Amino acid sequence: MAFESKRVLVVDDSNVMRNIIKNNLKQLGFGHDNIADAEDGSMGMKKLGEGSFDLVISDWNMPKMTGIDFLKAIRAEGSLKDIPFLMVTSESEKEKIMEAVQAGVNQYIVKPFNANQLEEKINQIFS
Amino acid sequence: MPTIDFKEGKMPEVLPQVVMDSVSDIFKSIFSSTPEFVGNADNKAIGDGVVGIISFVGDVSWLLMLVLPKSSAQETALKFAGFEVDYDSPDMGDVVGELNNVLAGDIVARLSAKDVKVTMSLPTIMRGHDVEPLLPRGLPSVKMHYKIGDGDIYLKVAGSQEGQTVGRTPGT
Repeated sequence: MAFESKRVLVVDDSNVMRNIIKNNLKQLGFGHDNIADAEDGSMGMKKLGEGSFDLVISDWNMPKMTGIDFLKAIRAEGSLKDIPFLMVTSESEKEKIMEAVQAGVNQYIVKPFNANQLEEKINQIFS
Repeated sequence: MPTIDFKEGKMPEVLPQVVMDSVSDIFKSIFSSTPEFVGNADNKAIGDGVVGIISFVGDVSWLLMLVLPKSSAQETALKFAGFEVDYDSPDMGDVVGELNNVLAGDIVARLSAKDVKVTMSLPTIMRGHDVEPLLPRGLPSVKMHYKIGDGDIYLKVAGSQEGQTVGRTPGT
């Protein structure tokens, strides 16, 4: 699948994790200029209000606004509610996955992951 | 639910065991090589290093400390991130926090499978010489030394008391 023109927002409080994910996305063919980032859910909401995005990739455990609260805020916002959302987390408990699914997550990836595993999840979202 | 406590100042076997199981699986996945357990490091001084601490609260209150010693931190960070990370940069704290976070997430799931429910905090990062959190008296701890390639990683499992945890709750 061609990702070059897809616009992605990467949200994680860790600068290193944002860079790892952005490097993975570039490796998968996403355009450098089409990848934006934010350090928590509230900054993510601000970025989403500034432009259109085809995909949000967000960490779950963040200060200020968690990934799940960020997801709920997006799904409650009329103009943003249909944006595909990929949740990144270190926690793989069934209850956590159910909570994310109920909140409207499109896909869920557990850390650690590599570019191929990320690609698989993104392909499932866009297919 | 099995009872897990720190009666008589003893470390319940299950905590170091789940940590060791997680280290084995998670670090092998991250670093593409099996971590080697060097041994107990309770009395070993680590020297300069970056420390990440995550608290667990719920059926049992405890904390997990991960230390990257300065001598091999940059090499370990390069393997983890895929790009160079300067020891003195804030990104080194991110690396330590993220390694601890990934381990902690796996530990939460492993404990949950044993019907022990805990939630984890965000990582707290410290750096310095022989940095250790101040732990309450009478609670046990175990420090473990691992080698991954030529790099060293230290992990400390320590009992804590409810309300005396380190680290912020996510979303706060």
